[in-house]
Amino acid sequence: MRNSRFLFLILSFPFFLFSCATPPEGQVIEKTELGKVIYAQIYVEGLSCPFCAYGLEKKLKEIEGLLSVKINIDEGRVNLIFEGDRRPAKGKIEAAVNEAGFSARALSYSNTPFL
Amino acid sequence: MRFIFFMLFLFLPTGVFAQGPPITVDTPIMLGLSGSGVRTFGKFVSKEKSKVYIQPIVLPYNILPKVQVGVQLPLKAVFPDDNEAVFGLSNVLLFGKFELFKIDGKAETFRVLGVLKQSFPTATHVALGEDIFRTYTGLVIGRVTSRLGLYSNVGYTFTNKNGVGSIRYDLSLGVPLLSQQYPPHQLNLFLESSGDYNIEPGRHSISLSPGIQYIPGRRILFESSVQIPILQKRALNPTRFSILFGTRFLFN
Repeated sequence: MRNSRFLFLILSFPFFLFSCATPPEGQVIEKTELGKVIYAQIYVEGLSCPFCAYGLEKKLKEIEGLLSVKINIDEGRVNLIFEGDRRPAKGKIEAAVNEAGFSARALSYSNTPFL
Repeated sequence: MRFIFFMLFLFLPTGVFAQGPPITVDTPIMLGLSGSGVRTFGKFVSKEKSKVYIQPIVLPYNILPKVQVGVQLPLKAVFPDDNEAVFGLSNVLLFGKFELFKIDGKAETFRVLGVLKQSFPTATHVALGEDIFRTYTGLVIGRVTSRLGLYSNVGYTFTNKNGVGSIRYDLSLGVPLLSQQYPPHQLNLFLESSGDYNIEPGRHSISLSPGIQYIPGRRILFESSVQIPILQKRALNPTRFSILFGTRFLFN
């Protein structure tokens, strides 16, 4: 009896994790009605596997005013949308990329979406 | 009968699922500052004189962008062919990883980490773990691109009981089967090899492990691999095969 309880506990752990893991739809801050926004595009080097990119998304989401993050692994490109009309500090975005374990390269801003 | 039921339970989830981190080899990619998660896998080992089930729970945490620390809590069940089964905690392991070298490029990286692992004799029964302290020091080297992952680990283990330790060397090759996208939806194939050479008795083992990994979303992956021994020199209880099924989950 004790043994089967032990086996049940260890084998049910992955299922518990899976049930915790499914994020609600739209958790990546997708706003359908955008007011005044600033678009930013940064090239990130070292981004070579999608599973590793979550650390980058997590760090970028800590930046105030961020509405959306889109990551393109093959191009090493991250597109960001910020709320308001003030450009977020370049240092903040680069620091987030570097703290996530990657290397920040060219960062540019635009008032219109990047093609 | 109990053994058949145990095996069915173990493989039930793999029927559903058919490049991420390697399965039986360490990865040089840490998740940066505050990166944390949990990894667990069930490993069933069929040996000539026993069957073993191991379920380690690994909790890594990045205290700095280049420094990771963690703990491994292994639960173990041993089913000897000629004795009573034993369940319980095996030897707990603490580890630290430090990024020594990194070259990043567009969708690729080459990284080298230094690793230190320390295991403690916390096993609740002699069959679950040796009553010794083990210290492992080694390197994790990897070149990862969006098309291919090449990983290798090499290191030396010494213990507090005898002067001569063992050399560990692992290799892994990973290939993604689906195009790279984020949020991820990936299926990856791995071919891995693990070697362990115990210097004093000249015990040497090498195994080959084909594996598969499924990543259905940002924060979770599932993986499975089969370890087939190709060399077992002077093994006391030779392994027939091992099967692993595991999952990794990243905290929010």
